[in-house]
Amino acid sequence: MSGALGLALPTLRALGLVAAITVLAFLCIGAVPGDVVDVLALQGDLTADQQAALREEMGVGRPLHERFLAWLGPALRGEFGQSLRFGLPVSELMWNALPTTLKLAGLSFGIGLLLAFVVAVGAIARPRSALPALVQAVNIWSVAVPTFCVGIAAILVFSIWLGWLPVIGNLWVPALILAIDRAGELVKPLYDELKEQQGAPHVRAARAKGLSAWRIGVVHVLPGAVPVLLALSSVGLAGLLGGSLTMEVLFGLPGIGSLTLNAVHGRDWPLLQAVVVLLATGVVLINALADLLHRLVDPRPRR
Amino acid sequence: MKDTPLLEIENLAIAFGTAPPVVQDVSFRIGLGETFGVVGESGSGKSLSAFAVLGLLPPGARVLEGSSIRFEGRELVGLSDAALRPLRGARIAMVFQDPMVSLTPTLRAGAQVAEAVRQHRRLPRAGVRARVAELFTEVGLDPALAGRYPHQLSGGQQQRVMIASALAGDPALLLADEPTTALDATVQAQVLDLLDGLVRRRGLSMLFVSHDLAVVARMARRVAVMQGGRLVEQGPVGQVLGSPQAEETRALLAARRGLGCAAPLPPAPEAILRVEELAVDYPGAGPFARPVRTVSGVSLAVAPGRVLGLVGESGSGKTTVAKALVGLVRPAAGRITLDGQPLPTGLGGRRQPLAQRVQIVFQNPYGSLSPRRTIAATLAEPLELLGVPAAERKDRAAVALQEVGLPAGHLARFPHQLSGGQRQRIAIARALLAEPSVLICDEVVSALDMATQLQVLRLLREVQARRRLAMLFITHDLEVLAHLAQEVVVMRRGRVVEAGPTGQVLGAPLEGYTRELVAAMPRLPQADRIAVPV
Repeated sequence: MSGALGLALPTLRALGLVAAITVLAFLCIGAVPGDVVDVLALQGDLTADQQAALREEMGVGRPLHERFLAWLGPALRGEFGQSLRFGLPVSELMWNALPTTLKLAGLSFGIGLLLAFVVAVGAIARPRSALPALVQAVNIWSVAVPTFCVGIAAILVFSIWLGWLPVIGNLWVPALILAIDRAGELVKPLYDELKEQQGAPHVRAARAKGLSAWRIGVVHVLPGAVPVLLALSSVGLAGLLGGSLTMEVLFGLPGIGSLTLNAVHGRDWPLLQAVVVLLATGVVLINALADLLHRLVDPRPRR
Repeated sequence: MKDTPLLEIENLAIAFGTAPPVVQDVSFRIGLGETFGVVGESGSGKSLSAFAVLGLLPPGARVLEGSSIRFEGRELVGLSDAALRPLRGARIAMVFQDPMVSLTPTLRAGAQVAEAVRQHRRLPRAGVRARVAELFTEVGLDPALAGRYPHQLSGGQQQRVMIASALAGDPALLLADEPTTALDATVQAQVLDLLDGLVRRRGLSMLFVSHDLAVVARMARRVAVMQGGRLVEQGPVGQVLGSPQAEETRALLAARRGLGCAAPLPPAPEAILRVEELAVDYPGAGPFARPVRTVSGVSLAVAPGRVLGLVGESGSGKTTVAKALVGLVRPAAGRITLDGQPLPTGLGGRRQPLAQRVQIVFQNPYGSLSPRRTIAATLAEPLELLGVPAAERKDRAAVALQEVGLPAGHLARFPHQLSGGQRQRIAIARALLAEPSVLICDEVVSALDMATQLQVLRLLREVQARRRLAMLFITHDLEVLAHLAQEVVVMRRGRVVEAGPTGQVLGAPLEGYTRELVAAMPRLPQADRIAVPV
């Protein structure tokens, strides 16, 4: 594929995907029964007249397509309107919450990737050590134990029983819990792929050249495993955005996850819609990046 | 042969784990500057013996006690990986069977040679580059190809890159494991010439491993024959091939020329299958790219009871023609008729009775049978299409098995319980059960051993004659073609370059390309003087 077309097509596809998710999210949110005025009415005794006035003022009573068009124009310029619940601009709320989520997701992804890489490569290089068993153990742990269970257990043990950590606002404990979960998903496929690469004819040919084990590993074995790593990482990183939401709520971190929960409880649709668009864009971007990296690492045309 | 052997192998035995040895009692010597050939079928242990020299046995395999491999007088058996490493690529280098998978896909060709250069000599960057260019030139490659990735090179070019990196350390001994098996005939001839020239110019010794007697005879003075992990015979090529002592050697020789010649031509009957001006397009790369015409202007005709050979190298479009005939690709232009009626195109038309009269047997019997279905279930499929009642299908399948020389007991088996030759027989039986008028055989024996090839070819010829089938036999092997086909069509780059009676086309080719193909055919020396029991 020629260069310009090769870049233009994936970009168009990515934009289309974000647009489709945006519309779908709007429809889903619109289908949820009840609105922000119902929630407020439950909390603070509003008369029917007051409710109607509020609906008129907030514009929540209007038909869905009108609301969507009214939202879309400013949204395209990056203005996502006012939060119905907090009375603050949505972009300001997201801007304040984003660093926490990025830190949590980035930390756990980085640590998880490093952990998976070290364990898998170590298990290949030292097949007689305990590392191959560790590959299985971390993998089973990740599949079998949900992160929120570990989170609750960690709070119970370290914060309440032992009193080592503050209950609320700790970033490292949830990051580590998510990291181990991530590592477990990555380590097994990575190990299997490395093992297959190691037995491949081109690796035997490299050994016949008299190359050192180190060079064979780095130049002839590892590059073959990168596509698998990239594919899993992009899926995993997207999953991490979701996974970090529960951790934020559990550990009281003021990130996008906590914000989303608030928005759902309060039927705060402008906020919820903005969060969905943000996450969708993030996931699409991550996938596009992984795609690009794959092309750089593996020169062969894709089938 | 000189007095001091360069490589001396004695009582070599190799086993996987604690299983019985897969190689045993293998002893031979290679002198300085000598090329020694080892020939045998797949699984005979010839490649393992070569791997053992450099300590490159696959995981789980080990050289057993009592074995000895001496190189330049030094014992190699029992040496650690670290102790063997200075020898690898420096004194002993290796060229492997399949260059496509033996080169690292993510590394440019030049870099793969350069790392071998750097491994053996300390040179500045420019020096490495100059040495790589030198090696590329020595193996007949344009140094500009150094910047390409393996997938951007042809099979022959890939193998030359492998050879260049093997030469980088100026080795004394070259281990060549089936170096031309994966290549087309004309490319094989070029690579063999290259190896021959290198051996002479550099005074190399070479261990040349192949399943092909003719190729070994061309390369080596002395040859050893391996069978079932044992070395059954060795000696000068003329002696081993001229008056073979071992039963296994005679069988190998018989496999190459036990076919006899194609039956002489009776007056030509009316053709049943006609292909006129066939063209096939494949989609281009990318969504807006134009389709690529891979086959164009191909016309051919086959009569009942006749065999038409379709010959060409990989990429010539011969398999695409076969696919068009059975609806696996849609023709872009042209007419295909059976008995004068147009044959339905595409897979949608395959269920029509007319289309069912054209059947195909594919190249790879390991991939063309469904691994999760019993042979009985596989053979019942064509019968179901014919409308044979379920109760009768098993009996009919058993009869078909008998026709292809297999016991009815095989009905209950799964493909993985059968050998390659047996599987190919099943594929033939499946095609015959559809009661075809035309049978297409697409490289049906190229995945099989020589001896098995012979059996399957004999079966095909017998079935074809008895059922008066019109057969389209696709192959790259001119020898097989000469024995089977009365007429031949030669294809190159999607077009027919020559067509006519087999004897005429192969005996006195008109086109330069056909002459090249005929010249590239590996031949046994003094072929007519070798006594062969048939």
